[in-house]
Order: sequence, then C-alpha cells, then structure tokens
Amino acid sequence: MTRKTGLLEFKGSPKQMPHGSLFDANCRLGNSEFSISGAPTTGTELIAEMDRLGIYEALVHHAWASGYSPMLGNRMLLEELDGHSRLHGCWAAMPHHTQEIDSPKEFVETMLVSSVRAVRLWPTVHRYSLADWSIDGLFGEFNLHRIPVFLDFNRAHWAENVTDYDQVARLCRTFPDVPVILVREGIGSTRFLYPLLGRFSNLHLEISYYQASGGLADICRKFGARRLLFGTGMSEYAGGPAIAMLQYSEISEEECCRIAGDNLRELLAEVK
Amino acid sequence: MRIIDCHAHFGEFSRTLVLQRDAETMISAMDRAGVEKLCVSSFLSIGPECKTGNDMVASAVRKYPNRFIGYGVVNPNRPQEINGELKRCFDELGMSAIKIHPAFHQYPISGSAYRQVFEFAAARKLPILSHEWGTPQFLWDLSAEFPVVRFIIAHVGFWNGRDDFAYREVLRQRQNVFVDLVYSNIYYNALERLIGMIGAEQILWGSDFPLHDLPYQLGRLLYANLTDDQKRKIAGENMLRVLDLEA
Repeated sequence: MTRKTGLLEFKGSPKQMPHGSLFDANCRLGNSEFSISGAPTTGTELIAEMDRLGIYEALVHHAWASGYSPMLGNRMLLEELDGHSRLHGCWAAMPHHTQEIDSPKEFVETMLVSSVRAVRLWPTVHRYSLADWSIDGLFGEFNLHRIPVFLDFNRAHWAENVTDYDQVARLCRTFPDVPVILVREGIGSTRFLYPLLGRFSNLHLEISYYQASGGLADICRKFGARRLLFGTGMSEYAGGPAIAMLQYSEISEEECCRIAGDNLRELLAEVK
Repeated sequence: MRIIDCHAHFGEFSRTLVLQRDAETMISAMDRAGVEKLCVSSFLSIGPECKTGNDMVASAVRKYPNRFIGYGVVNPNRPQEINGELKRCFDELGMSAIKIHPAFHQYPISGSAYRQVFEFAAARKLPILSHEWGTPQFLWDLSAEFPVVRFIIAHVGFWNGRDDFAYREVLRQRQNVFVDLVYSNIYYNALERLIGMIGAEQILWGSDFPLHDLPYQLGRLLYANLTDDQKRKIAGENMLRVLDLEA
C-alpha cells in the first residue's frame, strides 16, 4: 500500500498519530557546548520545530542546568517557558550536601510552586554518587510527591557502559513511588534493561535512542506499553527518527498512544 | 520512492539481542517500513567466521533474490584465504559487493591483506563497503588508483555533525566515493548540512538493520528539510547506481 507520510509518497504501513498525541519527554532549551547554528534553543524556535514534526507538547530542561549550574539553569528554564503552555519544565537536581541546591524539602516545594513536575539527574556529568549515603535524602522527597525522575548518564554511544544499573535497581526498589525514567539507553542496554523492567514496575524507558529493531513491540509484549515514553533528544538530535520508529512499530493504536504521550501525561498528573 | 538499504546485516550479534534473525522476519519488517531491498552481510562474517556467514547470506539471496543483495566478506587476518573466498562469493554464491570491517577484525585498512580485496574489486568492477577507510588521504589515493571501484564510507565517516566532515574533499572530487548514513546518533540538521557540503548524489541510505530499527533510521531522511528529489536519490536511486541496477 502506498501512503502519504506527510512528507513523501512511499510504500509502508505507518500509523497516523492522533492530533495532539505526541508529548516529547526529552527536549532541551538553551545553548550547550555542542549546539549548532540554527538548532532550536528558545521556546519559540522549539515549538516551530515541534509543529513541523507534529509534536504537540514537550518536557524540557535547560542546557545550562547540565553544562553550567543546575540552579541557574532551572531559573533560566522558567524564564524561557513563560508564555509557552505546550512546554513543560523539567528541573535539574543533585544531592544537596554541598549546598549548591536547596535542601530536598525546599527544592521540591519550590519546583512544585513553579509548576515543575519532573526532575532530571546527570550523575556522571555532575560527578556524584547514586548510593544511599549521597542521594537517598533527595529521593525520599521525590518518593513522597511521586515526582518522575529522568536519569541521564550522558551516553554518547550504545556500546558504552555508562549506566549504573545496580544503583538504578536499588533506587527503584527503595523508592517504589518514584517513576524512574532512563534517558537515551541504546541497543546495547537490552540485556540490562529486560531484567530490570521485569522486576521494577516503576522503571521506564525514554525511547529517543533505543532503536533496537522490533524493540518497542517486544517490550510492549513482555512488560507493557506503560513502560515506554516517547522522546526525541532535540535540539542536539533530530526529532524524526523516534517519531518514525513509533509510527511503524508493530504495536496497537492504544499502545502507540500510551507511548506517544499518555504515559507521560499520567506520570505528571500523579505528582502530589 | 524506492528504498534500498545499502548497509544491513544478517543473523545474531554477540554484543546485544537481535530480535529479527531470519529472512522471513526481516522481510516482514521491510514490508512494514516500505524497504524494497537490503544489502546484507552476516554478523558472523564480520566476526569470527567469514565462510559460514557468507553461506548464510547466499542462502537468503537465493531464496529472496528481489529482497536481499549480498555482501561477500573476507577476514584480512587469514590473507591466504582471501582470493579463494572472494572467487567463491562472486562465482558461486551470487554476491554483488564486498564488505570489510577493519575494526572488528582489528586489522588496519592500509594493511597488505586488503590490497588483494581492492585488486579483486577492481578486476570485477565491484563496490566495497568498509566500516572505516582510515585517513582521507588514504581514500583519496585509493579511489584514484582504482577508479572502477565504488568505495562506500560507512557510518557517515563517524562524523559528529558539526565539524567540516573529514572526507568532504574526497567526495567532492571523486565520483566513485559514496557515504552511507548509518549511525546510531542522528544529530539535529546534520543530513541537511552534509548535503550542503557534498550534494545528494553520493549519499546512500542504510540502517544497520536488524541491529537498528529500519523506520528509526529512515526517520532521519523522511523528516529532513530536503526536496523530494534529494530524498529519492538518497533513499535508493544512488545505491541502485552503485550496484549498476536500474533506478
């Protein structure tokens, strides 16, 4: 069958994404060390690119939060989001022991007052431990409020061993009310991910880099579509690949809608 | 639009799970994504054992000649076997091109064993896909020495999407050099910038399927800010030209 993708006629069987269904769980605003000229770095520019790709909403963090200062990046993010109702904030967090961020209780109170309902951690970039003596105070507060935590181990290639899966398992076990979302896991992660997904129902996978052929359908069959969140990695990475993978996966329309955005909407709605 | 995948594989892969391991399952995935043909080498061939891997690919090509195009693979660490295996690949197994993998075989592209491969390709006027081609100067010299060979640079030459692209001048000056798009990291706007440097005529679409997802790798092309004509060339027309098949 020949169908129109919206871009070019070719043979294949894509799913038509319902309008408003795509909610990108992994977007960045602001310039990073590697931002190129023309990449969307402001809210207005990002929304223009989202419109071109058919993405309705996005969860965004600020590049400075990972590359310069978490608290300054978080403030910059709030300024950039002002007036953009389709963009939702995701704050950077880290352990508070060095007093670079507020105490866990104050940090969470401030983020919720600021309408931010998700956090992102870069334990390798920011150089701290996910062991209990370092991170459990923060996660205890996240657990009380059911705050989704995006864990970014700064993976540059699928063959790298950068993710601390033992600590991921410990955090999922110790804090069962925290939705833990692994960001940019690749095809080389599958043998780590399957036992973790089988054991911990609060573990999720953001799919912007998980391009295992048939992988989305296999995870849906084995662990359920609730475990997957659509994301692109813009503006460092192109948005089209993850959209096409979702459109052509051998999954039901219902599973597709869950991954496209319903799962993330539910996680954000459950924040207390 | 005809979609010809210039860089795909076959079989299992020790480093991770491969879900689509047989020809029929692969064809089902190709049909869903609208991919007409796959140019395949076996993971076994680029790993420990070329001959058995080449046999696996030949079997799929024989069974589905309109869907699979075979790459014959040789191991430079056993140079005495190279000419015999290449003759078997092209005289008996029905292969259409050569694939070499200096990284997995841990043998330099400039090593003497690969000379046999280049000379065989020149004698038979074959394309060669290599995981890497060393320095731009090496490929510059090689593509001049063997002008009837079509050289395919895999994985966008491991370009980071930002710098000047090391092989830019080689591609601009040598019409027998091509670059494939297979790469796990698909940087924002990188394809558009690559075309700005070298045009669309020498860019080939590929996926690394069944390691990577066909639609994911297609997404970089389908959603790119390019003309339909550029997309058609990259999706398949250029590779048909490389293979001397009708576009």
